Amino acid sequence: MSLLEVRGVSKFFGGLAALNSVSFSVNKGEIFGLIGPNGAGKTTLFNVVNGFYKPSKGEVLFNGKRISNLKPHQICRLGIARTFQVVKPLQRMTVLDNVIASAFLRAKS
Amino acid sequence: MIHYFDTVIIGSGLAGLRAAIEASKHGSVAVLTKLYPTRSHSTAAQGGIAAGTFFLVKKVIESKLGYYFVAIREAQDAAESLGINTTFYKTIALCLSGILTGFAGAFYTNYMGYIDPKVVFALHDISIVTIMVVMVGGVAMYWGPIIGAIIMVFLAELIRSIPYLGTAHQTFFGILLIVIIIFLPNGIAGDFPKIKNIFRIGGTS
Repeated sequence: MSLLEVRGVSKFFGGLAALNSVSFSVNKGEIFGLIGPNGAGKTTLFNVVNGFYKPSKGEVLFNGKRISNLKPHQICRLGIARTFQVVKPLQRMTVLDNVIASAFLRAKS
Repeated sequence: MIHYFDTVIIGSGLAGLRAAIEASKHGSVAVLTKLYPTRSHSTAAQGGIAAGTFFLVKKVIESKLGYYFVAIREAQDAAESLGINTTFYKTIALCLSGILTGFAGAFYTNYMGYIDPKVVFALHDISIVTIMVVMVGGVAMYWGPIIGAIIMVFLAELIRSIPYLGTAHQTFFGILLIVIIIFLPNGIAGDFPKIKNIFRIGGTS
């Protein structure tokens, strides 16, 4: 069974189709690249997998579980992490505090 | 010896003194108090609220909750993708600030003797002073609001006591706000090294 599976995902912004029936699957241990020109919809697809956008059509499965109806923080809890094109560090915190804030997800207090 | 008064007020706290001022317009007033009036428990309670707020905020910021609040302030999208339920924690932040402001508001009502929406929401009154306190002192610092409150309350009383100025004293706050935003965007506590630098350059040349 594949680790991450994207099934026929479409995303429309008004009349603009940013994603049109995208399907692929990523297996465990695999490094998967996604390439395309500017405006091809790579970031939109990232945002759909990450949960920032809800797909207009289709679904995303992680470990066989449907995640396209979950919120970003719930998806993160399941084990999907992401970075941003423009890096978003927590500016006024130290590097250590940045790591601590992220590590609280798996720690009790 | 027997004294006769129209009104007798027991306790010289904020509410008692306030009531005495109003009642004295209509007749003679006596205020009974166990303590010297300026040593009333209202003053102690105000100090207590300030100290309590300071330590509560310090405790919250040093906890997991504090890390989450700061993370959400700095980058909400990043915080969300770090697994922080931003809606939930923002609601908690709103409740906490509501509780603290509520305490202050309860005492402010006592002090003023009345309250109406205009007092709090009018742009020239308490709402702008609250924002100015934080802007002048320093955002996101423990000591910022304390420094800001000392400076602002002192300045506000000083400016207000200048004769023939009338409501024009509010202009001063507008000018001060602009100056602070341009030269000290992090407030006095936040930009303290910058202030020290200016004075050192001024001193040597």
